[in-house]
Amino acid sequence: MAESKYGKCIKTGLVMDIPHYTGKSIVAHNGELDADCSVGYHCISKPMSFDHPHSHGFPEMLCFIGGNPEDITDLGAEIEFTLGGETHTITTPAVVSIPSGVEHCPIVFKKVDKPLIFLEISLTRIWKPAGPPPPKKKPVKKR
Amino acid sequence: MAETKYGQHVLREAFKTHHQLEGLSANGDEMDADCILTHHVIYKPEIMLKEPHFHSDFIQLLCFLGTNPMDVRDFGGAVVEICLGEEQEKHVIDSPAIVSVSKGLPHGPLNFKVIPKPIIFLEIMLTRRYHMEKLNT
Repeated sequence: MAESKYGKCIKTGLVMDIPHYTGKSIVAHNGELDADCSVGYHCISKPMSFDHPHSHGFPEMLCFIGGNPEDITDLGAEIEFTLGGETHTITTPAVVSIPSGVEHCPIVFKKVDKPLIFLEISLTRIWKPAGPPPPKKKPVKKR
Repeated sequence: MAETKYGQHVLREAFKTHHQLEGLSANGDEMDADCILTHHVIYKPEIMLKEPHFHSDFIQLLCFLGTNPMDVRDFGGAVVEICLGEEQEKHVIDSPAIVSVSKGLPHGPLNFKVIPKPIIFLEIMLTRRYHMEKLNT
């Protein structure tokens, strides 16, 4: 197509490497969508965790979806999700709808038998981590 | 867990079949958010939208994703055609893409034309209630 009016609506350059996920991710966290929404689509194939409890000033939906498209109900993973200080165990596909201001994490992917999809949708144009993680405690030196 | 304060935010039965296979979908009231998610697994060709329509007061993000979680670039040879604008400008999608449909932008027809392997069609609508308007023809 020589010249296009709407080609800018189709975003194909959003694939990137994020080291703690498997393979590549699709990420639009910086206003790329020209909407008050940001998206991240990731694959997880081994146990991992997000440890730092935090909250955001916007709603966030975290979706855990089985990686087999013919049967997305087969999650093949056990996830411990802490929301508002409560820990919930997720073993089937789920959407966690986190209201603005509610603290979440740790999220622990305790058991991952097969690759699953981790989809995050935030109702904000620009997504930023909610502050740095707390500093690591220095080991106490023995005298 | 006997009783929880936040358990309502974890939606465990959000399975719905809108088109071909069961997907994970939730509406605004279910999530208590101004957002609707619909996740469709498309495993065979389908003309999903025959006529264009638009949404005058919310943005819609249409995500076309492969189903190889180990390689997000793998679109499996699928070809999807979507038309945008009143003039029905046609775009061919043959790699994973997000189509950002602004308020009032007509979209459709939408044709999942070649589907050798299943793909995911994920819709994110920034509204609590779905509604659409048809173009005057």
